[in-house]
Amino acid sequence: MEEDIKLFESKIRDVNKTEDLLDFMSFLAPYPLYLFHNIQFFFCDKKIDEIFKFNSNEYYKANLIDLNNKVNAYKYVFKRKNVNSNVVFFIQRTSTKNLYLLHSMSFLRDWNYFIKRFLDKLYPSIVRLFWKQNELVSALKELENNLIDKYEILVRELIFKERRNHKKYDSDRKWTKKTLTNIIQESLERDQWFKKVKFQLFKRKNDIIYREPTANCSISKYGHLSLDNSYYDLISLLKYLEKPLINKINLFKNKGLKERDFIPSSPIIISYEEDVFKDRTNLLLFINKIKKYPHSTKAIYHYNPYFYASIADFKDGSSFEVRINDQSNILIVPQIKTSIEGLERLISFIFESFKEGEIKESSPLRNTL
Amino acid sequence: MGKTLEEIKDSIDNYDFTINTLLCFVSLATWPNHFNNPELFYSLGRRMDTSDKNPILRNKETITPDAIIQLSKEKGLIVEVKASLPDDETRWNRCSDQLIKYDDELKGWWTSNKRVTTSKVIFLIYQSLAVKFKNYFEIYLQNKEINNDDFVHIEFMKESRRKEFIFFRFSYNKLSEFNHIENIKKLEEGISIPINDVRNSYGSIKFYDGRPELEYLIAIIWQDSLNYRRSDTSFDKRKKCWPISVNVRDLTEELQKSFGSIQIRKSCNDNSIERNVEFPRINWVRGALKILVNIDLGEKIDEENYIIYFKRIQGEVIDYFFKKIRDRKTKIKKDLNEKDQLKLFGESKKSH
Repeated sequence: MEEDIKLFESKIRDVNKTEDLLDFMSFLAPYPLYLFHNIQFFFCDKKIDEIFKFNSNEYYKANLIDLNNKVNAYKYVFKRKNVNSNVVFFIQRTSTKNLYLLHSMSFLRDWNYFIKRFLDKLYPSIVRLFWKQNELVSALKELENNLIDKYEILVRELIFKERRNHKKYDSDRKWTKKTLTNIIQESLERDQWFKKVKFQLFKRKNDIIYREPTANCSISKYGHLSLDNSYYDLISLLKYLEKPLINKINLFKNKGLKERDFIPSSPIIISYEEDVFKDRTNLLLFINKIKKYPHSTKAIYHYNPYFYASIADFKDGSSFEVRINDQSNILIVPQIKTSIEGLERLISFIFESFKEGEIKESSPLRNTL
Repeated sequence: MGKTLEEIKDSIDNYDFTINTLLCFVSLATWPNHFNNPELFYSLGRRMDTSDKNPILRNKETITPDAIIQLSKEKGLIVEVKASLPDDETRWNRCSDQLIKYDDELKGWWTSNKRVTTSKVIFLIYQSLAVKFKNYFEIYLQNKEINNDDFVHIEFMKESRRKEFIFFRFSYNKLSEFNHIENIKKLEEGISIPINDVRNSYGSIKFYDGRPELEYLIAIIWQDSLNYRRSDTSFDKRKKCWPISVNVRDLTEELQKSFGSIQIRKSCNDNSIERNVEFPRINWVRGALKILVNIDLGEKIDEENYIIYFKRIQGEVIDYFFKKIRDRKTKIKKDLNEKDQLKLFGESKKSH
C-alpha cells in the first residue's frame, strides 16, 4: 500500500502536467484496500502557490513541502507524539475561474483527519464547496444514465438526514445493496438528504453482471469524492458536479457594496417550497441554529414577528443582513464586504443545520406594485 | 433611569419599522413610473425653506420632513411618519404643530424655481392611533382656524400573511388631486406593500433622518465596517485585540454610502447635494466612537481619529454593548457618589 503512495510521490516530482499525473493514478488502479484517489472541489480567488506557501508554525505540528510547482503539488507532513503521517496532493484548475480540484492518493483516515481539517483551516483563503441534495441526485442520475451499458451501480452505504416529524430531523447511516434509482426514489419518499453516498460499480457484459465490484466510490455533499478505480469512467460525474458549483459562484460573485462602488446588488434568497416559517417553532429553531454559527459575531435585532439580524463572519470579514419577512424565504442582504467564500460558508451552514432550499437572486419588483 | 435591554430592542424594532414604512410609502407613490419619469424624486429627509406665509414660523426657516416625494414638476408630497405617540395627549400638539409647519409653499423641490404648485402634507400614523389622533387633530385645526384640506392622514400597520406587508389606508381626507396615480387611488380601500420586495429594491437601508439607538449604531459599525477592516490589521498580543484606525469622516461617509442618505439618493438618481440631509450624521458616529472609548474598546487620537480595539464578541453584540455601557454608567455614578460623600465628609470635618 505504502509503495503505491511512494510511487505516486516520485511521479509527482517528475511530471509537467496534471493530466500525466491523472493518467498515472489511473494506471496504478485498482488501489489496495482503504487507499483512494480523493478529490475535493474548492473555491479560491487568490494565487494558489501563495495560499499553500505557509510557515509550519502557523499550523500546529504540521508542515507543507513544495514538491513540484508546475503542477501545484505538495506534501502535507504531520508529526505529533506517536502520529506521523503525510499526504501528497496536487491542485488541478477547472475550466471555471477560481474553481479547483485537489487530488491526492491517500487513506480515507488521513484525508479526514488531516487534509479536510487543513483545508478548513485555510478558510477564508479557500472554501470547500457544498452540493444540495437535488444537485447531488441529478449528478448521480446522470452518472447512472451514462454508465448503464457498462456498469450496474449499487449503493452500499448511505449517511443521511431524515425528517422525523415536521420539526425534527434525524441523522442516520444504513448499509444497502440497492440501485441508485431505488435509493433516490426512497430518499424522495422519506424526505431524506444524503450526506454521503458510497457505491460500487459492477461491470456489465452482454447482460451478465460481474460479481466482484470494479470500483468503490463515495461522494459527500461537502465537495468530496473518493474512488479506487475507473477514474476515466467516473470523470463524467465531476463534470455534472461542477455545473451547480459554477452557477453558485456566478450567483455569489460581486455582491459586496465596496467592490461595487456602493451600488447595491440583488439580495440572495433561500426559498423553500413550503411555508416553513408559518410554524413559529421553526423560526425559533432557525434562530437557535444561527446563534451557533461558528467563527462569527451576531446581532439579533428582533425576531417577533419577523426576524432581522446581522451576521459577521469573523474570519473572512464578510457580513450579512439576514431577514425573514416571509413564511417561505430567508433573505440575505449583502453588506460592505460580502464575499463568495462568506456566502458559501453561511448558506451551507443554514442548509446543513436547518434546511436546504433553493438559492436565487431576488429581483427588484419596482414595476409590479 | 436608562432604558432596559428590552426597551432598546423595541426601539431598534421601531426604528427599522419606520424605515420600512417610509420605503414602502415611497414605493407606493412612485412605482411603477419610477424609471421613465425624470421629474420624479424622493428623499428621506430634505431641507426645505418655509415662506412668509407659514402658519407657525414667523421667520423663514429650514425644516426637514421625514420624506419628500416629488411626483412631477407640479406635484409633491411632504411626509411625516409616527409609529408611536406619547401616552399623554397634551403632548400631541408638538406633532400637530410640526404638520402645520409643513403646510406651506415650501421651497426646495427638484424644479427650476425649487417649488411645486400642489403639495399635500401626509401624516403616516400607526393604525391603532389613527382615529384618536384624527379626532384630536380636527379639534386642533378648528381651534387654530386652519383649513383642513391640505392635510391627509394615512394609517399603516404590519400585516402578516405568507409575506410581511405594510398596509396603508386613508384615515383622514384623501388625495383626490393625485388620483391619476393608481396606487394612491387604492389608498381609499387600502393597499398592502410587501416589505421584502421593497427592501430588495433599495439595497440595505439601515438609517433615516432620526437618531438610532446608540447600541444599534455601534453594532452596525462593529459588524459591517470594523469586522472587514480587521483583516488589514495585525493582532496586538499585549492588548489582545486588533487595533483599527478609524477616521470619523471616512467611516461616516462609508455608512452613508452603504446604508444611509447617499444610498437613498442614488436610488432615484438625485445628484443634488445642497438640500439633502446626511444620515447617519457625523456627530452620531463620533458619539458612537466616543462610547467605544468610554467602555475601554478604543482610544481617541484627536477629534477626527480614533483607534478601536476590535475583538471577537461572544454572545449577541447588542446585549454585549448594552451591558458594557450600563456597567460603565453605573461605575461613573458610583464614583460620583463616592466623590460627593468624600466632599461631604470633608466639609463636615471642617465644620467641626
